[in-house]
Amino acid sequence: MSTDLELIEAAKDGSVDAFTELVHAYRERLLRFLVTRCASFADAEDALQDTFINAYRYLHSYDPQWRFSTWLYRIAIRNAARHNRGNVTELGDIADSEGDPLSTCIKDSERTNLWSAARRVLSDEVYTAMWLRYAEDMSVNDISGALDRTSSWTKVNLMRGRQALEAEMNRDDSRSKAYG
Amino acid sequence: MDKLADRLRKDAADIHVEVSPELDNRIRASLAGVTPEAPRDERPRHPPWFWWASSLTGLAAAVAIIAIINTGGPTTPSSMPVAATQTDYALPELPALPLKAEQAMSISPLEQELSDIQSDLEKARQAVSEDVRQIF
Repeated sequence: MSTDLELIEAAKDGSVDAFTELVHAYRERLLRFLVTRCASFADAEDALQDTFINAYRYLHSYDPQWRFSTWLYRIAIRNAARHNRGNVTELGDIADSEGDPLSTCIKDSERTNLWSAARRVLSDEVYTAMWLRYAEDMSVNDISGALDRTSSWTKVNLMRGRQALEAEMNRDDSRSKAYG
Repeated sequence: MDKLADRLRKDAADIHVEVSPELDNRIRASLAGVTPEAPRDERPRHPPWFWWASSLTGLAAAVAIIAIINTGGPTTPSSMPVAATQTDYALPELPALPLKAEQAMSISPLEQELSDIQSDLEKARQAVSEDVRQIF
């Protein structure tokens, strides 16, 4: 089994198959993220497709000092923003709508999925930082690279995001206890 | 592991997505139609004589500017001179005074030269006073 770097080198030499292997490795992780960031499932799929096309087209500009996933996420964040800009939709606006792609992808559960709450209470960038930290286990440096922000900004906003979500979690827990 | 991080990880895992075969085919087809862009050299390449040519051009421009500055004529005042004061009366025209001046030759010691010059100056002052008195 080849590593990411070997596949990237092969893809740079023109191997579509090597890049397709990379697509298979990352497509579901990216789609899960994009579903939480886009206004519809179709938008998320389009953003995923654009992400891989852009990544393949500009593969020569990939800097191996970053993880490949960081670079891919950086492209995906831009594509999600572009699709959302076209629809003039904010994440908070779609959180409760019927066509919300996130709610259709969440298992039925008694408690609220915290990512739904996160979309409601956090800004797009802070949401993304929280996702990369806790859903993708990225380091602060990688998150800063993906968001094109400083490490200080990332640390501060991760802390603020945590505080906001802890309040949401406690509210959700107390509501569950109250209704048995 | 703190409670919030644990919950966020579990909730992220609860988001189930599946890449449909249609989307997979779309991505494959798109990739087949994309040509990766060749890496571009960030620094523009110049021919080897470029730096010599640019240096010589700069030098020639500097010489031309210095030549233009030096060959220009004397500067002319931008405006007519203006009298510092204006008088309401006309001054009488004075005739040219015949001043007699002699060239001083410094061949003696300085103290003697000084006393000679002072006596010459006194004589000249007296001559001028006499001339003025005679005229007016």
